Amino acid sequence: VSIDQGIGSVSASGSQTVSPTSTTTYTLTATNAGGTVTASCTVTIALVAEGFEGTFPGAWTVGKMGGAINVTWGANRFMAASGSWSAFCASSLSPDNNVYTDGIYTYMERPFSLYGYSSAALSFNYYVNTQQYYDYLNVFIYDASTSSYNLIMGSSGFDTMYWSSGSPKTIDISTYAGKSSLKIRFEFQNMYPSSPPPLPSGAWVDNVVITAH
Amino acid sequence: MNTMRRIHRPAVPAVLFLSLMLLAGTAVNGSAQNQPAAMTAAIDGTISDMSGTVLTITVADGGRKVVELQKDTLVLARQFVALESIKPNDPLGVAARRESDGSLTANGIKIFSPELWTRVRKGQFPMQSGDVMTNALVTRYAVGVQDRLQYMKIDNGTTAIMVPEGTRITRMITDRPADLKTGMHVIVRGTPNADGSVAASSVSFAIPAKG
Repeated sequence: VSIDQGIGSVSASGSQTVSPTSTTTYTLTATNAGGTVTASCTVTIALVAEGFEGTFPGAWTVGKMGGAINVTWGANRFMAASGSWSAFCASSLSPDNNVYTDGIYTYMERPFSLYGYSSAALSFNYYVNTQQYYDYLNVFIYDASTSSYNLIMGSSGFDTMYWSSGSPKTIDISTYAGKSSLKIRFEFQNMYPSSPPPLPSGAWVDNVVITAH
Repeated sequence: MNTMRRIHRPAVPAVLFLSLMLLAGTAVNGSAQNQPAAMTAAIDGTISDMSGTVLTITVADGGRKVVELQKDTLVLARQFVALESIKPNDPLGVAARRESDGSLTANGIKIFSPELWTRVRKGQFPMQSGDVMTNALVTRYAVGVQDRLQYMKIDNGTTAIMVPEGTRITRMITDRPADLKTGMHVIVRGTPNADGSVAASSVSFAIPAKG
């Protein structure tokens, strides 16, 4: 019995620990008098895995594109899709904040690379409660090779289907495979001069994961 | 809404002139904030079948959801566009910051569809963030000067708003249910029927930017 990817012969029973640095498919081959059989297992390494449970902003850059007041995305413990923390569009005011300030335009983004990969996916949980059609959570991929932010998802109104269910929203971003200077960006824009909808209101994001093969 | 859309950044500076048509009785219209506290059903998927007013939506896990369009179902598309796509009489919402000299600099522009425009609170309003929201109609537009400006007429007056490069400009387009096609990625909001189908209050989708 042997496993490829440099592991070699292994015992017919027991376990084998592997520590790949990138997504790797291992193929086990077993041979005896009856013939040869193979089985494969893929270990997927996340290029980005952010549950907002640690230091924030860390690898993220936060900022605002509007508003005189200093409100930005921040770690938030009012609610989380898993664990205790998430990111909230107006959490710089307080980690327990659960309402967005009228007129804010905030973002958080972080770099990543898909160089050497042929396919990739982005997944995350989100909770959105805003003025429908007026205030949006927008998700972009920044591509330095074209100097453009490309919208890959937008949400407005009351949208919690990828929060309460625990299932993440998954988006195929394979079109960026092979590119090295990319950013994932979450942007919240309020463009209606009225009070936010019933609490909790705003945009929460949790469990941001980018995987590639 | 997984379709990729590029935000255009025109290289040519522009001047845009706008005029607010402030009608008596429409200065305060709170319809947009009368959003239900919670839609009871939401579906994110691809239209896999259409039969009259009934849509079949295939969701990420391969499951199928049945959606019934109603007479008042709002079918709404959203598209990022270039400043140059703004035309006279377009109803705009512009979020802008007030500079020290009193001028306004836009940080976001929304072009409303006629249906959404009827719900918009028209005029110019301060927001909690310190920015100013101006909801107005475009009167004229020019390209080729040093700065990008738009002029908005407020209560028989005029105000100018600078539009920096990179300002997000979104056009909201109200479509007919007949414009929905199989293969489109949509988000449906509505209320569940007893048989498990959903009576749609809105169907929204994104349109790739042109060019």
